[in-house]
Amino acid sequence: MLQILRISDAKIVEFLNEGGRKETRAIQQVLDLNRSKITSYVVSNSGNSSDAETILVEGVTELVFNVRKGKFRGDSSIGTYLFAICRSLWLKSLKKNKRYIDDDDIILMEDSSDSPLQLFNEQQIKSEVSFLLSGVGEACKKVLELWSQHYSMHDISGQLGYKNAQIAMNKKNRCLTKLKEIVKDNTSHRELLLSYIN
Amino acid sequence: MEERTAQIDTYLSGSMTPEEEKAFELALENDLELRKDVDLQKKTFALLEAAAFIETKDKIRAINQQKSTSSFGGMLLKVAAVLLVLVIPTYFLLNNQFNDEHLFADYSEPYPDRITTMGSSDKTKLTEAMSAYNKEEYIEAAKLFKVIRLNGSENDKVILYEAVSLTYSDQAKKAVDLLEIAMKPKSANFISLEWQMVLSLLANNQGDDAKDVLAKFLEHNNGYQQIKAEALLTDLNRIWR
Repeated sequence: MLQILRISDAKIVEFLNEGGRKETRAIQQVLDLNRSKITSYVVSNSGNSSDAETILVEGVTELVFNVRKGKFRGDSSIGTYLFAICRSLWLKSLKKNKRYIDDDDIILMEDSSDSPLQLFNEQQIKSEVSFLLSGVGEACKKVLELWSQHYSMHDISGQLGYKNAQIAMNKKNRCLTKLKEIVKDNTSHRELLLSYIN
Repeated sequence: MEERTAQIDTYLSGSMTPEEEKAFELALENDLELRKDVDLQKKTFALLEAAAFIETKDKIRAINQQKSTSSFGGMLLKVAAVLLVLVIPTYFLLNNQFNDEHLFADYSEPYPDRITTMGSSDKTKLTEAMSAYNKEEYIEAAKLFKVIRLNGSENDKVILYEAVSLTYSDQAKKAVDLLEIAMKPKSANFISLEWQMVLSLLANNQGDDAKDVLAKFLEHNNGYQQIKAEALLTDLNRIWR
């Protein structure tokens, strides 16, 4: 790819906060520029290419959330920051899956890419939360979804066409109050879902 | 109720002042209902956030897979293109309506002389270079502009004219290399340089790269070559899907 087609780190942060097509473009670039480094790290530490893809996707997701939460302050490059996230995710995964490192050698115990159970749990959480959100109405659902993705009130107002961040904030509070009532009335759903998360 | 939700959110997101936080925590100690409400809001947000994380991850996974598929598709397209060129080269010779060079011929024209016409460069090497350029002696012009650039009088305009001269003297690859190094997004002539990059890429048969640069060019372009650029992008999209 030509050098001039690259987006700067500052622009990536801006695009990830903004959402939409620009966000997709930023994500594409982050994936493209970091894939080989992360793959080579995972593969040389007892993983395979499928593990590497899983870690890369998970890592970029964390990066996106951290950027939107304001946790990424630009003290390092996005590449370095992402690598640190992926490294930590991979080490956690090795531990969780009972692989262990014996000085030079890493002994494989079991596969650690997205397990069917994990994928099932994830889809379960998505559909159950979607069920809970269906009770608050379409407009509320959109606000709450964007809010939980850590977009700022300013960006939410921009994406949903509200006049300003305060109006978006008021709408979010109204919607969250509604959703809390629904969650309160669905104790069994709630506890089951929370057990998946924890 | 909404006010309470807002207040709890401010507390949970750590946005309270130390005084507000102290007061709120004191209220928490003494108010069971408030404690229950905070717990409910925490759990509600945890559910929402977990779903949002999964949703975002699915989206990123899809982007990642799309890229792999398109790279594979791109590879297949290139293999198919090579086969076509090998099997029926005459077809391309006779029907080259949409090849990159043809598009270059359709869409390009040398950048106009904005230097001597402004009377800004009498009796300088620049005049000599512009003179060769205006006479369409592009090989000579490219050499002269290069000398000016290497002598330290480097500016966007000189780079632009050198790139145009290289492109029109069958040295498009050199033009692409020069532009790639020299283009700075903040420079005053960035748009003209970027447009020239598109044309030089086309002349160098890099239509797919030209398409990418052109899409970016159209995003921040303020009207410069707009109609031509849009038409060219349509043509390129037809070839480089």
